[in-house]
Amino acid sequence: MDKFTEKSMKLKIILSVGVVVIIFIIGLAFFARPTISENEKRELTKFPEFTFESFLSGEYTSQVSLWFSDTYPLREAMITANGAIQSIYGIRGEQVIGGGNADAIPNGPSDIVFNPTDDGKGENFEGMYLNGDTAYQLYFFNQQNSDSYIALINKFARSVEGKATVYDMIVPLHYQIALSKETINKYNASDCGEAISYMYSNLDDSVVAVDTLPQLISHNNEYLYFRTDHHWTARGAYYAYVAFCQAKDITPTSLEDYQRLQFNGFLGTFYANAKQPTSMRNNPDYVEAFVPMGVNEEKVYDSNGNKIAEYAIVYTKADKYDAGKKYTAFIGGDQPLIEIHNPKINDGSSIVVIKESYGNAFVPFLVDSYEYVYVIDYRQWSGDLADFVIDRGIDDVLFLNVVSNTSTSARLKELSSIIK
Amino acid sequence: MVFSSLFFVFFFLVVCYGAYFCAKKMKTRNIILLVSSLIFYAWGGPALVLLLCLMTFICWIGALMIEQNTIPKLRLALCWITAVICIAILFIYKYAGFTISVAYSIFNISSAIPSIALPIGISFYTFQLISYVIDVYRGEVEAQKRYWLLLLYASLFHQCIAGPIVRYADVNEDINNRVVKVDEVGKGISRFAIGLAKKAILANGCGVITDAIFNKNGVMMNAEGIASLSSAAILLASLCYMLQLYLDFSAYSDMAIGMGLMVGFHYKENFNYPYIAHSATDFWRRWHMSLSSFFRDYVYIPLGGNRVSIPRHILNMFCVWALTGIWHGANWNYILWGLYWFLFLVLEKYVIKPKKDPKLLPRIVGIALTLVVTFFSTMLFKFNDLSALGQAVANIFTSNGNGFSDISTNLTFKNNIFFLLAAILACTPIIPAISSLCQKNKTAEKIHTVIGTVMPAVLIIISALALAGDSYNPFLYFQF
Repeated sequence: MDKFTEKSMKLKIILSVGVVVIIFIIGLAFFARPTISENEKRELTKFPEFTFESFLSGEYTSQVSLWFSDTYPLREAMITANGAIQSIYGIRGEQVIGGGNADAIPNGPSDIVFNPTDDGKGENFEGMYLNGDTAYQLYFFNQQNSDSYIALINKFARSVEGKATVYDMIVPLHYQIALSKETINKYNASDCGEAISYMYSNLDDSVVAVDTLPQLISHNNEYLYFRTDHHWTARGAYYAYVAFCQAKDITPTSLEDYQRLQFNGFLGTFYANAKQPTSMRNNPDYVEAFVPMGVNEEKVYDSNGNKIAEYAIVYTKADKYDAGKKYTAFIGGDQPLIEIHNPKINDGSSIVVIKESYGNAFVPFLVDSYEYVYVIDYRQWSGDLADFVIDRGIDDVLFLNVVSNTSTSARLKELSSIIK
Repeated sequence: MVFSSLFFVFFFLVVCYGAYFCAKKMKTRNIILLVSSLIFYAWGGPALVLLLCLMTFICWIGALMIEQNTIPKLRLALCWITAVICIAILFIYKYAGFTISVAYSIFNISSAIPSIALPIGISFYTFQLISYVIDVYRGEVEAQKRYWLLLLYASLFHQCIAGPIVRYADVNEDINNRVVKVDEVGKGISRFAIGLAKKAILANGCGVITDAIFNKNGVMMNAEGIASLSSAAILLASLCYMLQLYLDFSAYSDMAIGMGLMVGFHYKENFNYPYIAHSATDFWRRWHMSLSSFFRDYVYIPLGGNRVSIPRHILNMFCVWALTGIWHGANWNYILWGLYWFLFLVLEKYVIKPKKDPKLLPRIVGIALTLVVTFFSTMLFKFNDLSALGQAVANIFTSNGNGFSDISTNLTFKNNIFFLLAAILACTPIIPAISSLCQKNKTAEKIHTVIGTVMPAVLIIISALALAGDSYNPFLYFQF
């Protein structure tokens, strides 16, 4: 071995061992270990509690390994760096992540029964199409589940017939207003408009269907859906509110009348699901919010009716939130039950919105149209919805779901648990 | 514990080798290696360590008795008894469930099949121990007097769970008298870093593509699901699996050889670029060499090898390949996989008779044909469900009305094209060939040395980044 080779051999050992030892030492910094991931929206693995059984089965040790990597102090930065490396794996302008099989959408009425599929889906998107800095959640119509959704709404409407007016709002996904028909077909995604029409055509006459698609299409040059998150923007929700007002025959508040806020630097669920692409990080979304005029406070209750918090309806300082959390500026995020009392209206009018997270950006617009607004997140609240409506003498009931949830068995099971 | 985890590389290995290099005496160093190996093994379930210790104990006693006896027949009997006990234990843990399920289906019994947890690496360490006992019987090595040193051989975390199958004779010297040499440490580090990167970046990356096509809700699709895939989707997923199989398996051997070199152990090579083999016979000279040589030395040659009649020779080959198949797993597809290779090997031996070292053109044709044979063999390896396999093969040729390709497969291919090229490159000896070309020119050699100096550190960092994302699991809704 000549001197140069010998020197470089030693240098190689020093460099490699150095790198390993540095990563080892950072791993020892237990105080710097994160406990939650904002990006992935989950709690990270906890250090396991020792029990003899879990030790014997190997569960304890495997949890320790998982804890070590899941809460490694530099994990977020490492994942971001890995995302940058993966961006050179190929030509990544367009990507499809996941996918599904869509049923054909029937024309006109069907026999409607509640019989959701047994696939347990619902924790994540079935499919996602990514193009540059914009991602679109894809929706695959499932007849069995769509029929089950309608069966639930009809069942509920019959239980409150003559006591409250039931509205149903099924919100189309971004791709429906942004992508061409050819592109939608290419990825086997269903036509949201046709699916919504099919479901509406099977609703009982007593249910008022709120068709948001015409409003959204006529404003599709505006910022109606996020590019890095699966939700719509407050502006998108506003046009759905206009459609709701048309269905109810009341005058909507003009968008210009609200105080407008803007929170920059929002990177939502698509960003996380697409493994944090650089294209999105370089061009994040912003969250637009419109502050209700009558009141900006809400009371939050758990399923047992215990008050657990008071929040702002539109949190005016959401720019302080982490990049992944900014959509929680609306109604304090997903809560079991919210009650809003607008002191500027004294007619006793009331509405309850039965919603998933799409409802969050929508609710603030209702505040100036009702004295009381109740918001139930059916994924978290348990109780009997008909009793709730009748006991409180609520006038209007609005079911608000994004179209993909009407084909998702897990959501239907949750919804069915409150419609008894 | 697996090699390709942050915990192993950046905690276990650092603590283990840190302690190792602090210790000066060989005995202390061996104790450190033994304790670490037992902890490493116990990580997957502490109870299973007892089985490893027990089997080692049986072989230790067996070998000592063989050595102390001079009556040939008794020696042979002792050798058989020890080997049969080991094989019986392996059989109970690995094959009992499968055998019972086959028996039930033959006799039409419908009853619950007992599920026995498969101890990690049992196929590897059982074979190592059997080879030890037979080598002692043959007088090729002396029996190890100290139980704990034999346990160190069987349990050594470098190779205990994923090979190579190290012969006792090959490490006998190293166990007691090994020296750490700077250039070997350097080589070991490079080898380990290459293995780690092959596993963490390339093999895992190929696995992601395969799973994205073949899996639904986290499990492999059945025949009905496979029927909906286009030809290109199945070809792409199977190609990625073929790459993954080699990259993953050889990466473990690279890491084992590298970690061995760092502390003075010398393990034999286990792979020699099998995907450039020009015949099935050549493939098996290059793929999992420690397993093929085990079967050659302890089954094929004792049965008479090829110095027998043609029918007997074919029978000998059949035995070896049926055993090779079943060694890989307790399922029909593995047995069929072994027999599939048996067919091609017999064909080559008696019908095609390819040259051992063909010229360029026949070599290229040979490589292409062998790749096709290998491609379908890895499909056999992948599909536990034979009806799904049948459907997949049918779809490749007929596309089953799904068209040759589909938009999602096209995009997946486009999204990963450079990655796939890198993975294919890693399966060929092109980079080593370039690096040996560099030795012929002074400037090139210097550049080569500089790259070689920083490469392991860079590979380790990139691998760490990839491993950090392994537990990446974004949720749609707030979970906290």
